[in-house]
Amino acid sequence: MQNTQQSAQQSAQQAAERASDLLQDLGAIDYLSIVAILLVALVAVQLVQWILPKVAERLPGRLRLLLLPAVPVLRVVIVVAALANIVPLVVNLNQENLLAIAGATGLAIGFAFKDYGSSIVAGIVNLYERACRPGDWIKVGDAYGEVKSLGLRAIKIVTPDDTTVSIPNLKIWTENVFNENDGQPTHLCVADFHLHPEHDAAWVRRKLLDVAYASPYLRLDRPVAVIAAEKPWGTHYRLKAYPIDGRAQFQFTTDLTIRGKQSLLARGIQLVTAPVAAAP
Amino acid sequence: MSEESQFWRVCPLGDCQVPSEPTTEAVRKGVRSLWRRLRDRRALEPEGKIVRGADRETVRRFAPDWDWSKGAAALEDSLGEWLDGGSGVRLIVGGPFSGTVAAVQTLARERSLETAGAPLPDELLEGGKKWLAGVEQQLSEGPLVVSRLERCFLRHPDGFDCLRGLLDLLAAGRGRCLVQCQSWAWAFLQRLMAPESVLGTPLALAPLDRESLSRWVLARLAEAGSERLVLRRADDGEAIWSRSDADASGLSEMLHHVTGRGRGQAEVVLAIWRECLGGRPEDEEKAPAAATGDDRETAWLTPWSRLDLPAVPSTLERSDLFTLHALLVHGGLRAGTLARLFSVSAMETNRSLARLKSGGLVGEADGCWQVLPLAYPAVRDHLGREGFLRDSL
Repeated sequence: MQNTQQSAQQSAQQAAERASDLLQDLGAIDYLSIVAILLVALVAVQLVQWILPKVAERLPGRLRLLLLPAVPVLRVVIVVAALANIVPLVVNLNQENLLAIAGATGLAIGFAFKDYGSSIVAGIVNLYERACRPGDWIKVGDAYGEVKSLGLRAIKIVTPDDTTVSIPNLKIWTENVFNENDGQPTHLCVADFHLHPEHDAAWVRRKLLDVAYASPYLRLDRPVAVIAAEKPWGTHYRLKAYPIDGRAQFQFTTDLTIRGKQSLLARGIQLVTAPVAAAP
Repeated sequence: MSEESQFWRVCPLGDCQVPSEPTTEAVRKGVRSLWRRLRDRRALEPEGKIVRGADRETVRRFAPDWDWSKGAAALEDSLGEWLDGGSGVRLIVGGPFSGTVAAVQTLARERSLETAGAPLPDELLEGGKKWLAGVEQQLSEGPLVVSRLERCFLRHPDGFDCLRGLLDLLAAGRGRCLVQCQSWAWAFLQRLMAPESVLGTPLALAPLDRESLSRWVLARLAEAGSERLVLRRADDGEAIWSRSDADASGLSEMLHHVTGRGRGQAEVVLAIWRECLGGRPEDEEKAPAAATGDDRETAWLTPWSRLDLPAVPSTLERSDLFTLHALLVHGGLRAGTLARLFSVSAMETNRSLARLKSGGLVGEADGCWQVLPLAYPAVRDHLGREGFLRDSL
């Protein structure tokens, strides 16, 4: 009995010693250095987030799309570097302590920040898999817009209506990501025309091609296509082409639509004003 | 065989070798371009200052206008069979400043060939039926030269029908025709309607290379300068060529830069060469030539590194790039026609043209706006970087 009590006391004493071994002496920790490292890291992150996008804006399309993805990568590097410098100031680093820290961190993330942790991991994996990059036009769920930044936890996109949407990185794992340009400076745009079925379809096709080739926004080294399909209410034409700069996609589609309508109306071709329900 | 007779050479467009710039220049240009992009966005004027000294008269004496009768002679040689009664259509494609227009027009004048003028923009937008009827009539009467095919269409939804009508006429074998088209328009038309099936394989005046230009420059210096002429660098007064010294390596290096930057386009190369001759030492009194009492006739040459050629600022708006591309595709346009192409107000077009003019990129002559020869290399590079379709020359 006495032996058992002694052994329990020894275990408790050893545990207390291990805990005190894990951390540096609280009085001896260099708090000034920690604050300095945090400040430097904070400033570095802000600088990277501020300077790189500004520099990228002045570069041509391809270079811009190469530089922008460096922002989240550099941010991760800065955060990891800061942690790597702070941890040795607070913790006695030996094999035993490292295992203890890793275990405790894992438990904390696993229980308290399960989704947050998943998003962070998904964000890091996304940097490698490149499901989307800054400058890409993506659709996730109901949100569509240009990727402005890849954060550790969430992606920020700006919709065509200038609304910023934060999408947790976890969504990249659980939902389909529709990426229109996938790192390229341009992507396919479509202008729709809904016409009364009685018209010269060959003429319309040629005129819509002319409309596309006349647009100054058109990227001339990419294909242009007109797709026609008969519908119960008329004929649906889709004019497909690539703009020179993907950022001008709405101006491009508008230009195609306006010029297309002008040309079709001038020829006396009727546009369908509203689709009608087909009789069953 | 004289230097002039070897100068102009006609070859298939696909065989044209565009002279390249020295590697060091490519690096320097890249760094300067990046620096310009990152600099103050407000700056539109060309950077740096150059001391302009030589008067226009002197510059033109050492670098006179091209004599296009020689270019016409080269064309005549390669088109001999067609000119002597051959049938069908022949096509000549040339860069915007290659002098092809002048050479073809000179050839037409010398051989008394009928020439079809370009239709007016309003006519083009209505299908150009009257113009096409005139061309059909001319074709039935004898060989016809259609100079400036780039002005026989407009990049507008209603602006292609006239050109299609012309191609239909030629495809039907209605007569003999020599067509001349500018290379930017040709690149565009190849995407739009594959005209080579009717017009055949294009020929072109080969771009100038360093050797050709050196021969021409030395011949002009010999004609215009005295026996004691010496070319000196305007910055340190170092003599790089003189009539008494057979060594032209210093000059040849300079001309390598000139032909490379000018892509061998005759008018661009000439404009850059004139720019090189347009400088003088900042303090002529202290120049080594004066200090050593050298009384030989001196022509000053601005060193390549200090030459301030126009550059395209990164501050240009998208509409400005559209304007530059349209001017190159159509070989120059009036402001009103530009506004119709872009479906914008005349005020917007004028504002864009004013911005481009203040940057030294475009100029106006008789109401027609054009990219300036001196600015052409920078404009071409910039449009290519921004994703616009460029010519092959």
